[in-house]
Amino acid sequence: MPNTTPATGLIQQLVVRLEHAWNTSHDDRLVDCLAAEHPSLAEELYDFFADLVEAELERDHPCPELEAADERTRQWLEREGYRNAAEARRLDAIGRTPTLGSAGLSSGLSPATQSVAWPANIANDRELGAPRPFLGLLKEATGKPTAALAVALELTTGFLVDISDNADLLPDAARAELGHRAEKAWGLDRRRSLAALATVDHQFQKAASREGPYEGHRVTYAEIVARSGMHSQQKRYWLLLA
Amino acid sequence: MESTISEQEAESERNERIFQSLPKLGSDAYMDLLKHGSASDLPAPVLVRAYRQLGMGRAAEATLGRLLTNDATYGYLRPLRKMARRKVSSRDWFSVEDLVDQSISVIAEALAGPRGDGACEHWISFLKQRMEDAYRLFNGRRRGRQDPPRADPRQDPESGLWSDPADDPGALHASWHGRVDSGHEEWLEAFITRTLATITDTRIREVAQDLFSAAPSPISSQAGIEEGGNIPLTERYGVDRYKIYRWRRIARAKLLAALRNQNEREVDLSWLQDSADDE
Repeated sequence: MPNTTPATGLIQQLVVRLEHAWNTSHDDRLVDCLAAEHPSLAEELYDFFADLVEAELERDHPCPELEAADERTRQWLEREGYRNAAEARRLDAIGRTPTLGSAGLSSGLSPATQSVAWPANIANDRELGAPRPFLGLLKEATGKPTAALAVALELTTGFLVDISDNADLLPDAARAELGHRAEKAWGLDRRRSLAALATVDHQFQKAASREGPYEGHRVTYAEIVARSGMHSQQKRYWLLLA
Repeated sequence: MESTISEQEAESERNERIFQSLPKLGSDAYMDLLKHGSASDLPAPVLVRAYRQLGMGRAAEATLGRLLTNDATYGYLRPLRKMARRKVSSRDWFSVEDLVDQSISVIAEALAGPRGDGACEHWISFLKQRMEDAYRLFNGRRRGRQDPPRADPRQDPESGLWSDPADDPGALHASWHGRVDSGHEEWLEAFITRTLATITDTRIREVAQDLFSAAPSPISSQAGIEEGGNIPLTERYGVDRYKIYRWRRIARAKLLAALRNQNEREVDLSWLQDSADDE
């Protein structure tokens, strides 16, 4: 799980102070004081202050250019967002939701001790003790067996299993390509694919369940491609993404 | 000028008043308000509070939908889009649009749980935190990018607009000379000087003072130097154009906030707000 660094924890506390001061008294001087106290964060603080001021100005100002983005979010909510939110609420009610803690915002509690939000589908899986790799995500979304998934993605079965197990080794362009193919094949939201490919450290999980220390070298992306069983043109394509 | 701080109700008090005056949550009147109320009628923190009280069901979904899918009309998520534009660089493997979408999915989940508490009071800080969460999700264990300063003009995927001001010399120029009542000019000049002097970051302050001077420097254009014009700001500070654009935006916001807070004069602020619309 990604960590919150001390620097990001501090900036989060400071922006909450800025927003509180702005909301309660339109304080436009606190930002100067905080910037003076924390010169390395000055620009970020001033940027945030500008966000506060502009948000007030832009309230109820139409921006038709954003309609397409709104529609995309609407479709996502209908497809899975509402369901995910309801599930998160259900888990919260039984004390199983990942908690950043409400105090993280309202009181500036150090986020270093807080866990970070996961996309709903990932969070739920993790709560249930079953982290979902890319392959698991595809199986659940489509109900298809691995071989059929590989065919649809124009991969070999071995390569699909390998990249799912070693997602942390994938170059960014390969992740993007997989997200694109899954979206094209089944309309799977790229965010879900990218989250599964970007955040789940399966090697770490394997290592954690291993009895002895890991011996031997860690496989590389190039080796995964080499042993994929794909024909040479396909291999070259995937290697070019590295 | 709209109003001064003494006449304004504090945002937090206003939100409390609005929430207390809402129709019964889930009632037909409430659903109707969701459909037709303005963002001033239903600020984001009020919607968050209502959503969290509603729990699950049709009214909860309608409330969440209003909050997350009506940015074109109400602007609840526009600060998020600005933050994402600042965050994503050309070296990231994902786009601004990807980060915004991912942030929205993180927001939807967070609002249902204990983290949503903070959003009832500090909506924009909440957006920033969730955007940072989404950014870390995308970057996984790579901790954070180590980028050089951004140098390329960038296109907003939603609007198709380029955010590089160098392409539009008028953007954020914000010249007030000749655009305010002549009776206020002397006072305004002193007020601007006083306000901008409070900016503690030296470079932001200098760029702000330059922006509101009688002859602002070009952002990056070399034209006019031979005729004795100012050196471009990018050259003077050794930063890219996008950085200058950000500093100028800060300057305008700082001045706008101070002018809205002051009680000394009734001043038309349209010249300053217009420059925001140019963005």
